[in-house]
Amino acid sequence: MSEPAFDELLRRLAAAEVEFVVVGGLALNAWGVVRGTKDVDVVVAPEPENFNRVAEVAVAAGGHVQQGKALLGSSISIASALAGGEQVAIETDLGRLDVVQGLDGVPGYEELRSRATEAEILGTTVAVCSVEDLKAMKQAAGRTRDLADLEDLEAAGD
Amino acid sequence: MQRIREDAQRPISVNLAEGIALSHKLMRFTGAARRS
Repeated sequence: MSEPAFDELLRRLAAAEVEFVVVGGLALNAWGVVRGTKDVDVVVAPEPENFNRVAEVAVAAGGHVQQGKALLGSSISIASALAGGEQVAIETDLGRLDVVQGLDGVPGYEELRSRATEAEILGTTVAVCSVEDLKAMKQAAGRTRDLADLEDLEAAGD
Repeated sequence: MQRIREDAQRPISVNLAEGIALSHKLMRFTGAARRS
């Protein structure tokens, strides 16, 4: 990775008309718990065309996916990995894009999108999951850090 | 906690931009530390 640029990564996804909702650390930031995060977590619409758009944005940003010993660097191979239905971490020159799917406690794209709030970043609108969905995902993940985040989210709502 | 409550009152675009800026700073810092 050259220089992290999560905002530019989000802008490019939106410009390419990728259907996605921001979850994870950046959603936590948006809802008032500002802490550092090492990746951009998104839930994307599980449609082949949408996977292709994600893969094209990733490849244009020097993206690749490590899958076992294989390094996937073409848009076809990355789209295929996404279509597998499991979580896919794409390392790009702008930072790591984590496509969250197939995890217990993470609602599907349509559900998340219907309750999401829009935020503006670099002049582009992106959807951020609702604070209620974020809390539910943190609760379901259940790691020490997630539970600490949940406590901070609860404090933010007081 | 007071700080979190205050941040939660701000527009989410402002918080998102601030969180991204903080992440970038931390990643640059840890990257530089790893190189030194």
